[in-house]
Amino acid sequence: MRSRLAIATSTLVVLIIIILAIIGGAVWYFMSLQGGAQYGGVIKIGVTVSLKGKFQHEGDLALKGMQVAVKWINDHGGVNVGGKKYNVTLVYYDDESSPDRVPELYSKLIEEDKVDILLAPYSSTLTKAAAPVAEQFKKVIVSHGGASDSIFQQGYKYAVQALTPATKYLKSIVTLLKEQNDPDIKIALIYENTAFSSTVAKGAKAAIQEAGLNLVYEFAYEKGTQDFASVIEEAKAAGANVLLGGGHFQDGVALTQQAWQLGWKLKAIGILVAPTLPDFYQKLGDAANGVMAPAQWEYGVKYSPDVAKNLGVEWYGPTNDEYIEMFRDMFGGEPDYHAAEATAAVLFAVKAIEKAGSLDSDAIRAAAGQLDILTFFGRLKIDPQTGLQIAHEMVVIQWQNGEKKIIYPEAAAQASPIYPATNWWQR
Amino acid sequence: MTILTDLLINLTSGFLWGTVLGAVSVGLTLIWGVMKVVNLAHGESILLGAYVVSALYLFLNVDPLLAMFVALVSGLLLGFAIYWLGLHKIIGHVDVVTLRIEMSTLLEMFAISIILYNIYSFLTRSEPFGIGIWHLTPISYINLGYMSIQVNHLTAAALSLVATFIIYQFISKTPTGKAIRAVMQDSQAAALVGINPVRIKMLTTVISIGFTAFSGFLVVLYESAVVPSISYKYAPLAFTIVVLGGLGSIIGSYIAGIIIGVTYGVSKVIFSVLVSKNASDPLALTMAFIILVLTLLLKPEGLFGVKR
Repeated sequence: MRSRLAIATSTLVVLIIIILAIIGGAVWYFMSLQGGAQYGGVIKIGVTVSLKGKFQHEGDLALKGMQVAVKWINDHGGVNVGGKKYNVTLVYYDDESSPDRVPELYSKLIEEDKVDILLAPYSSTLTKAAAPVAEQFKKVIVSHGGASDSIFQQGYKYAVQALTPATKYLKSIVTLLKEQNDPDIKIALIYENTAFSSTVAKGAKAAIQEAGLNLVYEFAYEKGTQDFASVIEEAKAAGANVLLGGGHFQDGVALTQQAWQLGWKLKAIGILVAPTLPDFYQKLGDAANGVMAPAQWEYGVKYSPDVAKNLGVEWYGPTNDEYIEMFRDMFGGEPDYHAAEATAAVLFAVKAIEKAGSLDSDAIRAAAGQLDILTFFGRLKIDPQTGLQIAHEMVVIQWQNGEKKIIYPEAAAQASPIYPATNWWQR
Repeated sequence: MTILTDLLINLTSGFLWGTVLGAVSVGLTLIWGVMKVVNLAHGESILLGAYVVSALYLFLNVDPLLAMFVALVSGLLLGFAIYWLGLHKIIGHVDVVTLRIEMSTLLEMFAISIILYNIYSFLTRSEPFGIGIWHLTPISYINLGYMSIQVNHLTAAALSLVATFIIYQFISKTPTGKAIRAVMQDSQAAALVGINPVRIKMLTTVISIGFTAFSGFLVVLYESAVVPSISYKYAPLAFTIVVLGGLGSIIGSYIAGIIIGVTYGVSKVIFSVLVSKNASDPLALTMAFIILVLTLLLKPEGLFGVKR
């Protein structure tokens, strides 16, 4: 008898607890969903991505990066715009890496899909085809893969940049050299004669001059060059002990390899693009050690909410670990900088809308000019006039004992720089 | 979005694009109809005008409305050069164009097309080039409620109508225009009544390429920015339109351009419902060429052409 009563009572108690928990959970869920704010609707972000053609690889990663950002934002309560909660959605088409498809598709995004804000396609070339359409329709367009400065020198009012412009690619390495306080630095600048690398070299020269360092040799080689012997001999003869330059993967590897084989004694080597890829070490072995390279973002950078606090700027978006985990969960692979810069562009766009408190393009653009945030990708702030990115710093990596380490800026670094590069200088 | 608004949007933008396509094809119908020269360099002639206007605007800040006349003149000069350097020796003194001669001129124009294409690619590094933020009126777009339209698209449509009207009047009313039509109908008979066929052929080439270069301005208005490969989008469509409109018919070309534009718009809606939104553009473009096949089978002389 007693035991049956006890069972009935305890069942009742358990039932009541379960019911209370369900009601409480539901109330909590709806409270958290609305966050006290009214639900406003969905913000449409329009973009074309390259899923076919020569930017297929980068385009695929960029799209995944954007999708991670959208999921993160919606999972964290969406965006608060003027007291109303909005969710975010991505509207995209495949531009097939072709600049003649881009204007039509961007018109379609604006005219038919009525998107609220745009992201640019991957690469400077495609961005140049999209920006005028955005301008005609007065839609803010955030560039995530268009590093070229010239996009922002054409008077576009609505184009803004979420990654470091090409002229600043080598600036971080030059700053790093300056910080070594070495009176005997003689730089040779050897770079590929293409639109991108020439722009990078132009910026590097300005940075070298500004830092008061010594540029003793400069040469622009044609696309496809594989033989650097004569150039290297000339640079050696000019007394150069620091090599900066390169272009793409093949020529970057060839330049480094021949500098090594010809016994060029160097204190520091900074090469574009090639050293950021794992293949670089596989191809060059010990010669790769000591070589530095600039990168928009690297796996393992140390930007965090604490760093934001020290810098006195607002933190927004996932942390690095959170980001990498989300990316793995959603797609099963590893993000690279193409994905990271696209994620950052979405975060920047959404934060600008939130700050504007409105979906009006002029208000968003004005707010974007005032924004200063730290994300897992780095600090983001644009020049209010031109839209050019001014705060995001390239991280610098250096190969140390067969491992790629982030050495600059300090806020993101995993290791301290090895200077002079022992294996190159003392041989 | 309902299918009805979708249809309305695509009808509007298809119509506007069609007017540009029509104007782009007028130059081709002249040189092909009058001289039997299959101008494979048509796309590159369009690009000449587009690049002249863009370069003048970007580097010298010349208003595109002024620069479009420079584009016209540059096209006239290119036409002059093409005739005397390329075509005169082959067709200048020929009354009846044989297949062999047609093949020679076709190859000639093909070579010119490749030369121009590579020069453009070299000069622009294949980067998009255009008139960027320029627009005619203080506002850059108009909100119609169901869609927004760029003022530049409306400007292009209006200019295409005016320009086509002017060249039509020129061909049908002026003595030179009548002489051109006479040579088109019968070169030998025209010579008998005192028309100098060489002069007329030269003029036709010059006017045709000149007008085509001018239409390049309409293309850059429509596209905002152009790359060399855009000639692969416009030139094949122009050939379709000329066949549909009838060889040598200016009005025919203009109307056929609008037909192709509207067909493209409507097919886009159909394919986006039937297949997917992403597939609708390329599939809709194939419709234009299905029309080409049907025209050749059912009405080879075209809508406004003369039966021979």
